[in-house]
Amino acid sequence: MAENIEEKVTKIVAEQFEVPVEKVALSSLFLDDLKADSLSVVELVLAIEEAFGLEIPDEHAEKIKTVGDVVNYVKARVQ
Amino acid sequence: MLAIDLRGKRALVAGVADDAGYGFAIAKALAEAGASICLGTWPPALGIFQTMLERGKLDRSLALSDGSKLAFERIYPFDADFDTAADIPSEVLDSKRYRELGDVSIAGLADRLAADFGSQCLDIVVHSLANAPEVKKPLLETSRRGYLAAVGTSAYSFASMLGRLGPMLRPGASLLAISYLAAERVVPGYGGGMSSAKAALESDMRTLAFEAGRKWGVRVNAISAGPLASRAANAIGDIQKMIDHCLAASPIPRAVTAADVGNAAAFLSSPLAAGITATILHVDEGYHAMGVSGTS
Ligand SMILES: NC(=O)c1ccc[n+]([C@@H]2O[C@H](COP(=O)([O-])OP(=O)(O)OC[C@H]3O[C@@H](n4cnc5c(N)ncnc54)[C@H](O)[C@@H]3O)[C@@H](O)[C@H]2O)c1
Repeated sequence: MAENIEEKVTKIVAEQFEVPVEKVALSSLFLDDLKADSLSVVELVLAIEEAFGLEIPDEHAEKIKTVGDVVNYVKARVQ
Repeated sequence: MLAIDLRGKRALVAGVADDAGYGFAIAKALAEAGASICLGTWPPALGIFQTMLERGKLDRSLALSDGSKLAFERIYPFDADFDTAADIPSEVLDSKRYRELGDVSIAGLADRLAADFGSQCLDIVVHSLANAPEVKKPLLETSRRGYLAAVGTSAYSFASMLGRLGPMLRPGASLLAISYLAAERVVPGYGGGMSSAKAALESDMRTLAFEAGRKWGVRVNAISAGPLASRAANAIGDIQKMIDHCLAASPIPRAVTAADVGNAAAFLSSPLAAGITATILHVDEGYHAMGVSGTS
């Protein structure tokens, strides 16, 4: 399950930011490494909510800066 | 009882993509007064806005005082940078966020409104949008390109909208732009030509009030609003510092709310303001009047 979450998140990130999956690492910073803009980050948060049936409050969403942040957030809630 | 009554009137509010800014609060106040509301939403933010609406994330903000929920008559994709379809560069047209939206220009918006509601269908137009790519740079360091982009998006768009929507206005219509004190006073940090854009917007508002007043008999005004932690303001810098500063220095030591501006906009858009045009109304707890500030 843990691995699945990571894969699923990576796939969604790659899709949202239109980058190849290989470029997406846990440590990737959305804005600096993946060249995303702030609106695509909001879109990503919405896509993650949808994919995992979660509600990510704004206070948390603001702290999500890397792929790893998303994975940790989802893991803590989905398992 | 003297009341603001906008029943039977249709408003177009351009510059709404979430529930945090002035445009949303104005749309809500106009709806409270009975107007039906169409929005113009910037394509890059449109998908997010629609998803938030669909998932009910804005339901609390959409609740009206009579217990009903504000429902927008239309939400049009709208980019105030382009006057006609021919002005939209092909790389923008092909990009992910514009691809399926068709003609998002100002002329396109006028066409869509005419197709949906007929050629004379508008009573209220609100311009609540601004953008400056170099807003974080002081004017001294702003490029010509950045400056012209700020003025184009944030000021010329109002004149362009008025020119294209003017023939669709019903008698007694009202147009409103949202400005900021940086048009008339120095506000450090409000850079990239945004202060220039607001100065142009306010001057244009007066000239347009004359031209459109004579041509279509409509009123044109602006609200100079106090600082608010909207999405746009957060992108500029430490908006909370500005809010705290104004709160400490204003005649009424209270932070201006989006609803204050919404209510003032509803009044200006209503027949109660029939005698008011070419005017800038400060909705800022009186901050603009202070010469020396900081005494409490
Ligand atoms: N927030 C403040 O402190 C403050 C103070 C005085 C005046 N204002 C003015 O109020 C108005 C609304 O801003 P706000 O602060 O409420 O923020 P906001 O983020 O709610 O509104 C700005 C809107 O402009 C839209 N936009 C940007 N570029 C666009 C374009 N090319 N085409 C169409 N739409 C575009 C954005 O998508 C956004 O919805 C602006 O004119 C702003 O300058 C704001």
